[in-house]
Amino acid sequence: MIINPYLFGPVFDPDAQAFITAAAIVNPTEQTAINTLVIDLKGYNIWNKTLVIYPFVGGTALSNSKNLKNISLGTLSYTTGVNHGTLGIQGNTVSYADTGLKSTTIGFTQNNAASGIYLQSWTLGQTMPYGHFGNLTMYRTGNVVYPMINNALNTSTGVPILNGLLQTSRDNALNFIFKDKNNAPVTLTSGSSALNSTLNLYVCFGNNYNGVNDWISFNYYALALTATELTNMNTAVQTFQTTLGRQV
Amino acid sequence: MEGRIVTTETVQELQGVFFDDNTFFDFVLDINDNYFLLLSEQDEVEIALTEYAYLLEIPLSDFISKPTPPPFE
Repeated sequence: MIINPYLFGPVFDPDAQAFITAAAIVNPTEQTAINTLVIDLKGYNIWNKTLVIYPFVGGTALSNSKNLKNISLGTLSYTTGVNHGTLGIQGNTVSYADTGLKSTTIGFTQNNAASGIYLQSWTLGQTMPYGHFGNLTMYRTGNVVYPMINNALNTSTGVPILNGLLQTSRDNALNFIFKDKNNAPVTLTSGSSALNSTLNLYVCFGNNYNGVNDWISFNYYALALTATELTNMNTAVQTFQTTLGRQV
Repeated sequence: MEGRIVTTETVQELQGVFFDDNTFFDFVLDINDNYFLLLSEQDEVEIALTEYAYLLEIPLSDFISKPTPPPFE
C-alpha cells in the first residue's frame, strides 16, 4: 500500500515522533530537523549510547523542556529569568534550567561518560554553561575553556574558547577526549573523580557556580563516545542546527 | 540587568513556587543583599495571567550579582 504523505502527513522515526508530539512541535522544518537528527544518530550508532538529549527546538518553555531520548525522563523546569526562542534557551548568569537529574542518576559511570553543549556564543569569563561545579561542566576564564567530564578543574586541560558544539568523553580513569566544532578530537590528561550525588545537572548555569547569558542550542549526556563518534555527533548536530538556521 | 526588589516575606512565600507548568520563582541576592526577582519576557507574559501579577508593578532596579571567587587562579 502506498501512503500519500499529502493526505496523512510525513511518517517519522518513532522516537522522533514521540518527541514531536510531547514537545508540541508543529513547524514542518523543525519536525524534519528532529527526525533527521534521530536518524543520523541511529545511523552513526550513537543513539543507543545517548542518555539525555535536549535539542531546544520549538521556541517555547514546553518544547525546550523535553528530552529527545526519553520524553518521560529529565523534563526541564526553569527558574524565573530564562528566555525561550528560536536559538534555544538563554539564561542571565543566575537563572537556569534544572534537569532534575544528577551525575549518579543520569545513567553513566565515573569512567564511562560523555557530554556536550552547543553555544551560540560564550561571552563572560568565570562561567559554566551546564552541568555542575566540581567535575561535570566546562569553565571559561579569559579565552580558555577547561572541560570537566568526571574530573576536577585542571589547569593543564585548557583549550581555546569557541562556540558551536563542545564535547567531552571519558572511557578510562586517566584521560578524556575533547572535541570542538572545527578541530579533530584531542586527548587531555586528567584523572577521573567520583560522581557527585548531591548537585542536580543544570543548563545555562553550572550548578553551585556561575551561569552564562548566551543562547544554548543543544545539550546532551551519553556513555563514553569514541573520537570518531564525537566527530559524527558534531556532524549530526551541526546538520540539525543548519536545518534550523542557527548554526555557528 | 534589571529586576524587581522583593521583601523577605515574598521570598519566603514564593521561592520555588511554580507559576506555570515549567517555571518557578527563584529569588537571587544582589551585591547589597537585596532579594531580586529577575524575569524573562516570557515570564512577564505568563505571570500577568496569574494571581502573582502584582509583582509586575514593582519598579525595576539595577541588579549587580555577588562576585564569585575563581575556582582556581
